[in-house]
Amino acid sequence: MRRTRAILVNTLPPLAFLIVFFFLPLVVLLLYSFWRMDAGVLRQQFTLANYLDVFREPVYVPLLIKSVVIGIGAMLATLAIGYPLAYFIRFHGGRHRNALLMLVILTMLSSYLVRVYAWKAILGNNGILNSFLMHVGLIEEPLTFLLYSNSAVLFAFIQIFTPFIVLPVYSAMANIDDSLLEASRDLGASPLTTFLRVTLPLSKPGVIGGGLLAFILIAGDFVTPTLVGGVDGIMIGKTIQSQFGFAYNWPLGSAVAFSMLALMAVVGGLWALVVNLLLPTAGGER
Amino acid sequence: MRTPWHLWRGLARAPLTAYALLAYAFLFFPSVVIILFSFNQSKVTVWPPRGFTLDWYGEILRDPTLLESIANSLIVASLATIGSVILGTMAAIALSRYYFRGKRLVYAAMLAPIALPGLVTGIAMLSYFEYLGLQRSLATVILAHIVFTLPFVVTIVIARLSDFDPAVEEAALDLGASPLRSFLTVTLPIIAPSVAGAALVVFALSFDEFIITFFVIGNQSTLPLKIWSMMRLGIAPTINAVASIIIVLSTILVLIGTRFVRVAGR
Repeated sequence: MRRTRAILVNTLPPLAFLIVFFFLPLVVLLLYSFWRMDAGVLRQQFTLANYLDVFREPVYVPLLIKSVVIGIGAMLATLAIGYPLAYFIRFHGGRHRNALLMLVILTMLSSYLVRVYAWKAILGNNGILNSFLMHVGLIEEPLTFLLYSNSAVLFAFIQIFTPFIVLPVYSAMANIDDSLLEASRDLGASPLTTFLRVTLPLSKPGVIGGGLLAFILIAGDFVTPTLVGGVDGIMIGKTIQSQFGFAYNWPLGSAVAFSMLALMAVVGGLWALVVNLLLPTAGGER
Repeated sequence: MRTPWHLWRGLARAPLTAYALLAYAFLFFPSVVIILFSFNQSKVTVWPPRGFTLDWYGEILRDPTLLESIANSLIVASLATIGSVILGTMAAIALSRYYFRGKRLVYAAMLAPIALPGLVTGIAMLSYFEYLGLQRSLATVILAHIVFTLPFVVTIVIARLSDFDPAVEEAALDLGASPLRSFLTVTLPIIAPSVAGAALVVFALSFDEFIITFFVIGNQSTLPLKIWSMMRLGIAPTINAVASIIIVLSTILVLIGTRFVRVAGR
């Protein structure tokens, strides 16, 4: 009795809160995607017209694909930076391990908007990088391709989302028992073999989870493309945001949003599958 | 057998260390640049910085709309922190202490808000409030912030509770303490550091939040929204100053916060 009561008392309020303010809103958003804007007025009648529009109108499908490509590209780049960094902290951090990890947490929790802004200030035509290069005499005219391009967007994404890889990969690596590595060594495995057969397979959950999180957050972002992407660097999130802003077509906007989520789920599932197939399985596992 | 390993560690260490240093430099580069230029005398943010001034920080104090947005952000972050910490701690207690049917589902539900892009959470709440005919205001922002910070509280507090022996609490109950009393005198003191740590992290997250806030706010402005509207007008030195304050403030909060918190997997 005491136990049942304790479970109910503790789970019901947070659960009810999330249902009312998170899950129900998602249901309403889904409803909107089946309604229709008719001459500026919302018609609450079921229709698939918005989803058909997503496929019929020439903007959305290419932008969906582009956002997924940028999301995967930036995610792989964050892995290329974040995985070795997590490895370094875990296996070579020594007694500074916690401090090193803290530095990464700091960058993750420090203002997202401020960091995008910083890239805008750095990469702008009259920005810090251009004026620096001109100051030291490397260039005469500002490089105009730095800001408002896909590469600027990619660059900002990589810097902003690398910590999202480091933490899950680190915590997967932190769970690797040192005795496993010693055992591998004592059995005569080369360091590379140990890495490939023990460390890499056991850090797989971090790679899958961190990669997935980074991919979802990057592919669905609208702030970075708006601030540093300009016209060229537009992504699907920006079109959703404008449907909920001045374009004022919420039903179409939510249909685009759910199409994006569906695509993300497919890509995320494939990602887990591919990582599981490509990365070796731990020796003795299964 | 030992030699190759030491050789490997030595050999692997140098490039790996260099790589890690570069990665850290890359991660901190933008923040450092912004702080550096917040003291720049010139009106334009170009290299090289000229002179040293605190004028841009003074500008903040002379801009009433900016001050108001800071006040709004403080209100939102404080109330969202209280709500999120209470609800999140309750969930963490239930999830770490008891086994019950549907527990995995409840856990997944608690973490769900992190797994969705902020944009989707934002437009979902916007549609919902509109559908219900609810006026958007700072109150709706607070509700939204509780939703998106809840997973952080749950994860941080669960990490602490997992190495806490429930027998201690059982003992209090068996000795006749009421559940509330046993919570207040036994459980809370033990989990207090991680709850405090979670509170500071949540405060920093809420103070900075932009994407969801953008959709669910009414006429007022929080600091990130104010920065957004300033940024659309261009790069101004005052933004450098505000941004620096945010960077330093969230750094301090997170530093203190994580001191209380068991770091992942350790």
